[in-house]
Amino acid sequence: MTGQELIHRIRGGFGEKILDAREARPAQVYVTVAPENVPQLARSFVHELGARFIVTVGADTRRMNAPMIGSEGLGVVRSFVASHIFSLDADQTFLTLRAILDPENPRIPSITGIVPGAKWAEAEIHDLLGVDIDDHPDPRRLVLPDDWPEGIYPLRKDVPYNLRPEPDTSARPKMREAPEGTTVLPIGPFYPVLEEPAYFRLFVRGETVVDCDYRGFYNHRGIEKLGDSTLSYNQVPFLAERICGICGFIHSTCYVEAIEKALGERAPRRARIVRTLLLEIERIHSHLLWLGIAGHIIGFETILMQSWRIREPVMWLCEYITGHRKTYGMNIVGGVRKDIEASMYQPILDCVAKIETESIAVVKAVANDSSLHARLRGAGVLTNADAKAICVVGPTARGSGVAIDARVDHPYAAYDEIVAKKMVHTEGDIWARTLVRLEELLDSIRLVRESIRALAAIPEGAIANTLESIPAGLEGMCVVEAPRGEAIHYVLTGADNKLERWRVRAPTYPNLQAVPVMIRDAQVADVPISIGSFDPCFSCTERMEVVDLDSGNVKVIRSADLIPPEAS
Amino acid sequence: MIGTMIGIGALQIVLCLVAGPFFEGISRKYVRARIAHGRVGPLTGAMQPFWDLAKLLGKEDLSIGGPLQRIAPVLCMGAVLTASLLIPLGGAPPFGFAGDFIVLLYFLTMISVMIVLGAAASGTSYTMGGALREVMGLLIVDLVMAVSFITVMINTRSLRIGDWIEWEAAYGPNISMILALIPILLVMPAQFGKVPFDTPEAEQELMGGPLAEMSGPKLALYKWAIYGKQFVIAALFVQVFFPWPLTPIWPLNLVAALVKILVVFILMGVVEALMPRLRIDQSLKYYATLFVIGAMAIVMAYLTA
Repeated sequence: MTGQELIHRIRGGFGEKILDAREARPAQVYVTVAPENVPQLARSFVHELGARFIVTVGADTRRMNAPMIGSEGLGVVRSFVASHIFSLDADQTFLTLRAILDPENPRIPSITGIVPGAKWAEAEIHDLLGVDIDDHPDPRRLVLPDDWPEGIYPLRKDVPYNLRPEPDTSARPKMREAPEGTTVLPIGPFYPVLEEPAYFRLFVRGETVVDCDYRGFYNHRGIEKLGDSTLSYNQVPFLAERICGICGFIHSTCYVEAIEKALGERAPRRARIVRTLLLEIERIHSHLLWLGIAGHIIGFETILMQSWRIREPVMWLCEYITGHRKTYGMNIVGGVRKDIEASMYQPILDCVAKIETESIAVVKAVANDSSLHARLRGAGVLTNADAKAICVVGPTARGSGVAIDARVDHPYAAYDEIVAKKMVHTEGDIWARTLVRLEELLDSIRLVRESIRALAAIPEGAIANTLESIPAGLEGMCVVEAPRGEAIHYVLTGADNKLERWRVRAPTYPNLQAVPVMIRDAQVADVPISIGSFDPCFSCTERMEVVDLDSGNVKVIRSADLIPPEAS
Repeated sequence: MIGTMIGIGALQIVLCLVAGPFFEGISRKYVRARIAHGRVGPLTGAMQPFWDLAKLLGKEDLSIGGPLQRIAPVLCMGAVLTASLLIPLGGAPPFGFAGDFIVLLYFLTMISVMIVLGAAASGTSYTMGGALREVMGLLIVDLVMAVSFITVMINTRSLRIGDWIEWEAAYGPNISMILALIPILLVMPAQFGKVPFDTPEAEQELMGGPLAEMSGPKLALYKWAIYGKQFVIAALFVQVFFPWPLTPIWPLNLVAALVKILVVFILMGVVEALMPRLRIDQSLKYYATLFVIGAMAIVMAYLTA
C-alpha cells in the first residue's frame, strides 16, 4: 500500500473525523484528528491495518511560527501536539496519528487499553508536558524524580533547561503494596548484575515470583531538553552519541538520518556505507558483550571472560577506524567526518576474520552446552501474543517469532544495498533470544565484509553534503536497528537553526515493559537472567530531562544512615 | 605421646586454616584465571585469599543484627577447627575414637547451621532467601554424603575413620565402595559452595544470600571457615577413598594427603569454570539422583559383605 492509498483508505473509513492527512515525506504518513477520536483511529490502525505502535511524541508548539509539515493543512499550530507513531512494517511506512490538544488544558484519552505498549509513552507525555491522560492504567510518576515539584513540566518551552528545583530527600517512590501472603525481594536500585540503577520490587512466595513493580528513570541527564534548547543541528550528534555507552553510534546515526529524512536529502553513498560498517561493528561488540554478561548472570564466568576477550580487538578496530574506542564523533548531518581509506580495508578484514574464527568456537561451545540449555530453555518466556501487545523490539521480539528488523523493514544508511538477514526464532524463551543474537553476530561479520567490498567498489570522494540553514517545521523520523532492538529518533525543526523537538526512544523502553510478563510465576533464580536476556540499557532508556545530582533521586547515604539507631 | 598428639592436632588446625585458602588460591589463579578465563589473575598468585581475608579483617563492621549475628561466625569457625582435629591427614586422625565419624558429621552440619543462623539473625529478604536455600541444600547434601559413608561403614563394620583408612588401604576398593564414591564426588561442588551449586550465595540473584549482611571481620571469619570446610571435606574424601600411599612414615603420608587434597581443589575449579549455576529445583533433582546411587551402593555393600 502506498502512502496515498493509505490516506485514501483512512479518509474513506473516517471521513469528517480526519482533520488533515498527508504523506509529508516519502514513507511518512501523518493523520491529524481531534483528541477524542484518537482511540477509535488507533484501534482501526492496529486491528485493520496491522500497524505496530512504536512511540508517542509530545511537543509544545505554543511558540512555533511555522506549520509542521505533517499537519501543514492546519496552518501554524500554537498548542500542544501529541503524536502516536505506528509502523506499517510490510509497507515500510511510518503512520503518525496526531492530535492537536487544548493549549490551556491539554488532555487526551489513553490508548493503552488498545495498545498495552503505549503505557509508558503516555505516562511520559504526562510527566514531561503536563498532558492529562484520561483513563491511564498507571497514573504514577514514570520519568520525573519523586521530589520533582508538581506542576513543573520540563519539556514545556517556558521551563528553562537549567532549572533546579529544591531537592526533597524525604520523597519516596510510590510503590505498590505487596499482595497478601508474599514477601518483597528488591532487585535494585543498585544491584550486582544490573550495571545501572533500576528498581524492581519482586513479590515472591517462596521461590516463585507472583508479581513485580518497577521504578526506573534514575539516569535522566536532560539530553532531549538540552538538544532542543541550546544546541545547533551539528552539535546534537555528539550529544546523541553520549546517550548510550554501547550503542552511541546508533543514536547519532538515527538522529542525523532523521534530520536528513526531514530535509528529504540522503547522505553520499560512501558515507552511508561507512555508517553501515560502523553500525555492524557495534553490533558485533555489543552481542559479544551481552553474551559475556548473560554468562556472568547465571554464574558462568568463563563465558564472560572469553567473550570479552574476543570483543576487545573490536574495540581496537573502532579506534583504528575512528580514533576512539567509543563515541567516535563520526556522524554529522549530511554525512560522516572521516573516510575509511583503501589502506584500511585489509586490516579491518583481518581483524574481522580473527573475530569470526573465535566467535564460531564460542558459539559452538554455547550452543551445545547442556547445562546452559537447562538454565535458558523455557525460562523467561514471552509469548508471541504478548510480544506483539507490548510492542517489544529487537532480539526480544525476534526470539518470540515477531519478524521485525528495522534494517530490512525501514532501510537506513546503506541497508538497501547491503541486506541483513532477519533471524527469527519462535520459542520466546531466553534460549531463543540467545540464538537470535549468536546468529546475528555471525551475520554482522558478513555485513562488515560486504560493506568493505562495497567501499572498495566505489571511488573515494565526497563523504558529506554541506548543510545550509534548515527551515522550521520539518519533521523526520528514523528507526535504527540497535543490537537491542530499534532505536527511534523523531525531530521537528524550529527557528534559528535549532531543533524544536527531539524525541529519542531507546529499544530498552518497550522491552523493559515486558518484564512483568516474562517473570510472572518464574523462579527467583530466573529473574536476573530474564531481565538480562533483553540486554537492558537503562541510561539509553532514561535519556531525558533536567535532573542533576542535587535535585534528583540520588540520595547521599551517610554512615549514620547505615547504622541502626539502637547500635549507634 | 600426649605431647605428640597435641602437636599433630595443632598442625592439623594450622593446615586447615592455611592450606584451605592457599589451595583455593592456586585453583583460582591457575585453573580459573589462567586456563579457563585466559586472563592473568591475581598478581599475588595463590596468596590472594589471604590478602582478601586480611583486608576484610581490617575493615569496619557495618553489619546489622543482634548478638546472634555476632556470635554465629565465631561458632562457625569453631566448628570448622574442631572438625579439622577429626580428619585423617597423615594416617588415622590424631583424636580418633569409635564413632568419631558421627561427631565429624555433626560439626560439618554445624557449619551450615551457623551460616543459616547468622543469616536468619540478619533478617533481610536476601539473607532469608539464602538461608532457605542453604537449609534445602543442607538437608539433602549432607544426607547424600552420609549415605555414601554408610556403605563404607557396612564394608568396614566400623564407625571409626581410622579403621576405614586401614581397611581401604588393605583390601582396596570393591564395587560398592566405587559406587559410593560417585555421589560424594559429584556432590562435592555443593559442599564447596561453588558453581553449579552455589545457589544459596548466588551473588547475581541474592547478592551473597546468607552472607549478604555480613561485613568486615564477620565476613572474613565466614569466608575463612568455608575455606576450612572445603579442606576438611576434601581431606575426608581423599583419605577414605584414596588412602594410598599409606606408609609408616607419617610426614610422607601428610604430603601425599595434601597433594591429593589439592587435586580435589583443582577439580572443583575446573567444574566451576565449565558450568553455569543451576536453579535450586534443578540442583535438588540432581542431589536426589545422587542419593539413589548412594542407596544402591548400600544394597551392593550388603550383597557383597
